Amino acid sequence: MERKETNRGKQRSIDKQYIKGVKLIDVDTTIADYIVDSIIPKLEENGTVLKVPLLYGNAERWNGARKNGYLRDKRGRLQIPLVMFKRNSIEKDESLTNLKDVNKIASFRKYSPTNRYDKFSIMNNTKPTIEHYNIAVPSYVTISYEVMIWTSFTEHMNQIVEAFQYATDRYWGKVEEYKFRTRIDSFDTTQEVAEGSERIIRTTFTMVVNAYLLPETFDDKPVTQKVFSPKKVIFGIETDLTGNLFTNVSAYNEYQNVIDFIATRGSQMATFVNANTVKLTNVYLPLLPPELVGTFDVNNWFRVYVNGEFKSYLTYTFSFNALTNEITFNFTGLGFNLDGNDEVAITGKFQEL
Amino acid sequence: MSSIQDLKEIMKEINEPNEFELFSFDLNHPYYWIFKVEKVRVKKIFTKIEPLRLFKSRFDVFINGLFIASNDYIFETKGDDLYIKFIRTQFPPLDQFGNPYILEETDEVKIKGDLELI
Repeated sequence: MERKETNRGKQRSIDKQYIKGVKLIDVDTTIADYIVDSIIPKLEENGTVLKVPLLYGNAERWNGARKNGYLRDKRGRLQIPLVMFKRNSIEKDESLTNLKDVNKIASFRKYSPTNRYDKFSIMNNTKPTIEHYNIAVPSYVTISYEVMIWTSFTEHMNQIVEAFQYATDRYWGKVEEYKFRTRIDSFDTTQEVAEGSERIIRTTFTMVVNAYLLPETFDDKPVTQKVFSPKKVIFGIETDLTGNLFTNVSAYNEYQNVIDFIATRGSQMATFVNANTVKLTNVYLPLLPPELVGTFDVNNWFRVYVNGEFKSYLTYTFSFNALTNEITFNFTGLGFNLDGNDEVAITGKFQEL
Repeated sequence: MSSIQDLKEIMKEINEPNEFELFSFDLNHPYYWIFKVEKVRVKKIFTKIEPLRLFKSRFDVFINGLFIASNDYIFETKGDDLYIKFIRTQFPPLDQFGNPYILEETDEVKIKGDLELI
């Protein structure tokens, strides 16, 4: 079995508090808590304060309430006043589409336990690291809830409906926790007084909540990734060796003597000295490396052209003066005398200084 | 890469001269006779050996087998093509037969040295 490839550099431990996703239950409880804590007012009946309970309408409760028009508790007593809600549908929010796999929402925490304030850090000019958290883009959805309110008196119902109406188009939730924008468009109120039963005032309405959902993990990977900022940036030196093919400098160092000799090549117009003599000026004549003795053709050390015509090594001798950096050519077999108008071009193993 | 392989690469750069023939490009230019060869360039060489082989010494130019001094022409590259512009005033006004000296399409112009095909 093949061993799974792991990159230790990407394995960062993340505190549990930072890998919390946003689930449907989170949305439901946020809405419910906000209704209980901030919206539903305390009612007064015959001098006593009534706390209106909120229930989540599971299938049994909701169907019973729909069928009978009210809800009874376990002892058979009519539960009134009461607010009950249930989630109806979840739809994709088309106004907020995002490329989930490409985009990340970045946030950071300046404090990191890996930061240490000590003299070693100051001496090395290391900066405090910052913990970055890259969070995946959530799925934006629209969740609709249906709400039913029962009261005995219109006055009580009015207070509750007024509170809901005032809370519409606000972000429901607690400070530093989830917040979801909630909208209520209309309230539908009915009064029922049947023979031999209590007077019931009932209001139903639909809430539309703009929410987002984010799983804790997807495809076995956490949706939140932790990254540390670099403590120190070091710029290195890069050298571009123009000879692209030749990349290993050590080879040059090893054979420098031979390579330099082979690489040496000069081309210069010689200066006229007299009818048999010309010279190259400001040049250096390299020595034949011992490694090339017997291999290098010393007869072709130079190529001499007089007025463009090649002249054999048999037609001249040469000597190098290291003090004046001159190479003098003495022609013996040209068959004619040189003059100042003759062009003598010489190429070969000499370095132009 | 081994040292031997490196040495081979160096030898390719500096010890394997190539020869290419140039063809007439513009013989009616008032100052130059221009010859051209396509898809040829001067080889790159290792920077440490550049001072040992100056650019003007890296190739020789011949017309009909005669060596032409570097003062007598201008070397140019345009795109992937290589141009040699022979300077008219650097050549004698008359040839060996007493006719005006000109370069023609039939003249064989060659360049030999550190050159390679692109």
